[in-house]
Amino acid sequence: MSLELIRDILVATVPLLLIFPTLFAFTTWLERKALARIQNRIGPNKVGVPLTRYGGRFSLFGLGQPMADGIKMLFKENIVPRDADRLFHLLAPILALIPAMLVLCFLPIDFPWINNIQDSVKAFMLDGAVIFFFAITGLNTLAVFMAGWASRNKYSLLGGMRAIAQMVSYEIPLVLSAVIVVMMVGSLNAAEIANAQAGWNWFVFTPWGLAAFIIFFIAALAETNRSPFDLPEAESEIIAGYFTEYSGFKFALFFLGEYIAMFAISGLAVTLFLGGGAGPGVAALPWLSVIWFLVKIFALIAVMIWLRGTLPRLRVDQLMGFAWKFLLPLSILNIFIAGSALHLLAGDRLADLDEKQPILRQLMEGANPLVVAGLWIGALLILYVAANGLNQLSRAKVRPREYKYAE
Amino acid sequence: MTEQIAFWILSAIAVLGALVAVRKRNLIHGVFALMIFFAALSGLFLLLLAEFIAAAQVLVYIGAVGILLLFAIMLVLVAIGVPLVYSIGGAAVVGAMSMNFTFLPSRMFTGVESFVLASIPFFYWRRRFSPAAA
Repeated sequence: MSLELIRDILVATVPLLLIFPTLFAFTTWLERKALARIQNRIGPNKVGVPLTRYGGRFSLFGLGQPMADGIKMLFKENIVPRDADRLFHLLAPILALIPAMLVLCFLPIDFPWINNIQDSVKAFMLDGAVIFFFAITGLNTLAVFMAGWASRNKYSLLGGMRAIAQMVSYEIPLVLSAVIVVMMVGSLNAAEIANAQAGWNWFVFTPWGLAAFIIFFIAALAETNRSPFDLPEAESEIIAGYFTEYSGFKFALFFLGEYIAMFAISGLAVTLFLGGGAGPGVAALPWLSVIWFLVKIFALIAVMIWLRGTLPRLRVDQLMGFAWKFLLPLSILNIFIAGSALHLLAGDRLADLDEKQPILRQLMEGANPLVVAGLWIGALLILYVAANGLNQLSRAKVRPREYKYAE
Repeated sequence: MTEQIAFWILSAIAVLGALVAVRKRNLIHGVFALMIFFAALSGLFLLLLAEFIAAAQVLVYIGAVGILLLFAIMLVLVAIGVPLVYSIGGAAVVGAMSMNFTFLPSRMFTGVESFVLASIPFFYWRRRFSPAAA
């Protein structure tokens, strides 16, 4: 192995391992602040930034809180239950972190320092980066189950079982909504998908793309165990689910893995639907694309925090019903709509499409504006009607509540 | 050279994982060893530049089959391991409730009538009284 290759690999991976955990620390602070404001509290505001005065004038909105949390977690006792499977109890948090960290390299973020390294170490240039992304995020389920089983605790086990059922169910709409983008680009390469949306051709601005984005976002919430889908760790039902028995740094690792998974899945949503690094001013200043990418990720994270503060948790039957009776049929219908719309746009030009170029852009060039407008409105109408109908069909048959004593 | 080293490491992991998966008494440990084997196999596919097969290996075998195995093991553990007495008792009660009550004694007698079952006490006697068995 040549030294240059080692250097390139380090240049491609080490910054990811530094940047995203730093962002994680900032996000925990952001989440605590935002939740506090939603619940009419103030949130962390005492711990200052290190090297400034503790408390007092330089507390800077409590920005030092994540560091204090980290130090606290690091110095806590390592508690292992007596009956636990010691090896698996130790391995589970690590296994939860590895896939989350690994998929970060599939995000096509054009950091300035990776411009002059060879293409073979850029994972997002892989043909099939999107498939790899889904394959590796799926491994998170194993870690959750391992944690739930190794703790020898009934609440942990219940949490683990719930997590498996939830992740297996919601992975299907997640992948099916990503299929739409692959159809519109004609490639699984993450960088090509992002480049196909340069300018303002974001896929979220097409009707099927919008529907797919919403489905993707909901399924991503469930995949990362975020509220309102946080049943595996529902505090009020099963204590903390699969990490009931985890404390100290092992818990911190789980926490880190969860947030990194949030970043990764939001990054994939940005890549697939929100144009990757595209945005105003990118043509003049290429480094701005990194900023835009991170800004879009943080916008999605902010929506996740907002949803956590506002929505109540689902019941287990509602959760499964929502995945199988609502999201799955809708995403399959969405694929059909996207396919027939692309076919109608293509007309008789299907034979002379260039496979190397993004398909949707080729179809849009020289398409009749009236046909495009009709397709857009028709697709939106069909999707809206389908979503409403599925909602009516999948709604649980619950009688109106009868009050015995209160009127 | 690099590929050679990677190949040997991955094959060693694959062989060890497969051995552990076969040898372990603990089912869950066995399943996780199998997952390690599949992961190493996917790495070997990657070395052969078969990216899609590597991804499919992770997606299908580790993602789907592994979780299915875990699910099956858990369901068996939950169904048999924990509430055996309650499940048998519950089944008996439900069976008795759903049956006609004249049917119940007749079922009990036909059960006892079975010659195979009736021979069980004789086996006990034989063991008890025969000097050879003692």
